[in-house]
Amino acid sequence: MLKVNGMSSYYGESMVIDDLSFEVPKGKIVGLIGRNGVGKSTTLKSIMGIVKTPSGSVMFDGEEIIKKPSYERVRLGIGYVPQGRDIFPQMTVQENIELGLQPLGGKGKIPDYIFDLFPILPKFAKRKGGDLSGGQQQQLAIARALVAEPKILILDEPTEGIQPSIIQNIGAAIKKINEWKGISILLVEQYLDFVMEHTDSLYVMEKGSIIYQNTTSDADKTEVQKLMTD
Amino acid sequence: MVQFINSLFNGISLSSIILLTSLGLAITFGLMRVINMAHGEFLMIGAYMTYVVQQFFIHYLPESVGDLYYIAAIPFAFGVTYLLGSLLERFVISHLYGREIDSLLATWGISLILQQAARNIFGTQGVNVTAPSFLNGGVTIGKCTFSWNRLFIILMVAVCMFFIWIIMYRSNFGKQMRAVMQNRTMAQCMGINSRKVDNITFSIGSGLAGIAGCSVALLGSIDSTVGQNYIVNSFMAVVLGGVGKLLGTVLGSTIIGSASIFTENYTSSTIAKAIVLLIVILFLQKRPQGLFVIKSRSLDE
Ligand SMILES: Nc1ncnc2c1ncn2[C@@H]1O[C@H](COP(=O)(O)OP(=O)(O)OP(=O)(O)O)[C@@H](O)[C@H]1O
Ligand SMILES: [Mg+2]
Repeated sequence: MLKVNGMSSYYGESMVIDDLSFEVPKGKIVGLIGRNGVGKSTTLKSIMGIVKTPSGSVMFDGEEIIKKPSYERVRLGIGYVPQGRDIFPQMTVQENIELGLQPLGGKGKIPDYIFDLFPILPKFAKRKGGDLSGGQQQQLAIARALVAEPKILILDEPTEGIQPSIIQNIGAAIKKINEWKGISILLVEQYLDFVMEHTDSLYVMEKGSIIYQNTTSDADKTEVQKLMTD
Repeated sequence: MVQFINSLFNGISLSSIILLTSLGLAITFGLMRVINMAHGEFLMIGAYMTYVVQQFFIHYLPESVGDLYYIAAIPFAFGVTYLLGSLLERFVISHLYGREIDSLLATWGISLILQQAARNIFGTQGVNVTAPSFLNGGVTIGKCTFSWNRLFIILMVAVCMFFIWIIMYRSNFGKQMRAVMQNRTMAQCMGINSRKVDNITFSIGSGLAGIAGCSVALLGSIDSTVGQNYIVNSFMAVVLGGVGKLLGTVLGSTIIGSASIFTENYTSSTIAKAIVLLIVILFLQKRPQGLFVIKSRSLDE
């Protein structure tokens, strides 16, 4: 589904990621974990095309996308939930969700299952996106990314700064999205228990490279924990 | 009293012209952080296009339809300035995003080029259009006379505002534009082609200045400096109103327009300009962010 190969990424002149390769198979949930500042978000931004990636390859659904502008990547079927959610603050919740239709040219209907996943959203429809709490914004951001029914959903630390009960909801939603719609998921996280519970396989990242990879069922949690703290 | 009402009326019609030019400035600055120094020249081009269309009607069309020239001039002026705006954005401004000083200098240079081009084509003498006969005279209520051409200008601006409002708040393009204004990167990640949004927005802003040029043509003679005369007021209106908010721009324009006319009535026009500038400076001491502020992450950063 998504295959990154030998990719390097830059902010201006400074290289953050060098020769990175990993893969998200079709219909699977893949975790990408690592300490603060190792380049997890940068990896996702590279896939989205919002940081410079002068070399390497990003294959999506059999197509090379590394040279494509962000909006075209999204139209091919990538849904993105950034760290910090990036809700449009001056727009209502309704408008934020409707923006999810942009990859389809702004037309179409919002699939009903989104409100089954996040039943609180209709209650806030008329409120400004910027006025929601962090947990509510997180749910809104995931819903927004699902509206156009992407083939892959990319989540950047969806549990960051969120209370346990909402984390449970989000975890359950991730499972359902994957099961109901067969959407592949790339999950960046720091919260190891969450990753162990919700993924099929995982990668550990350190200073812009992958230092460990395994299926989640075979992975030894204490070993992974050690990689993330050393 | 009569003088007061007349001043108010003239103030409103001047404000509405300022509003048309400020809108273009405000949305391009709000969206792209570019101050277009050549914006006034789009007004000038709009005014000259009105003249060109009238000449065309005089020379090539029967006299019976002569008055319709003005109706034809409005979409023509819009079209020409829209197109020129689109080219300017595509070939100059888009290469200078994020480089404020460079884009300021480049657009200033372009404004000089356009003024010189106008002098080469139309001469250094001002040209005049004759207002269509249906705009001659005015309505008299009590002792006050409201001229038709100023009433028409106010109406035209109201119609433009209505369309802008529809575009910004009721169309898909408007939704894209607001998304790009609030968070450009995330808008791209929602599948929005922000380059295209920039280009169309810039073109619409230029086209509005072109329409403002049509209304200016009704009020006096047209020469290569006509844009400069109006644009200074528009810059002040934008600064006063705070960028990114339609309402702020409307209020800013109203204040600047009315203040100009009123002070002009009791003093001279040069002193009026100085007084208006003073008002703006004093006001900005109190509220550097303008009348309205849009709270958004992209502007905070
Ligand atoms: N906009 C930027 N400009 C320059 N350097 C940046 C920028 N964003 C991130 N970096 C640097 O790139 C490196 C990787 O950052 P990144 O945000 O990808 O880390 P992360 O793994 O997502 O961390 P966290 O877990 O804290 O979110 C860091 O050293 C960071 O300082
Ligand atoms: Mg991060």
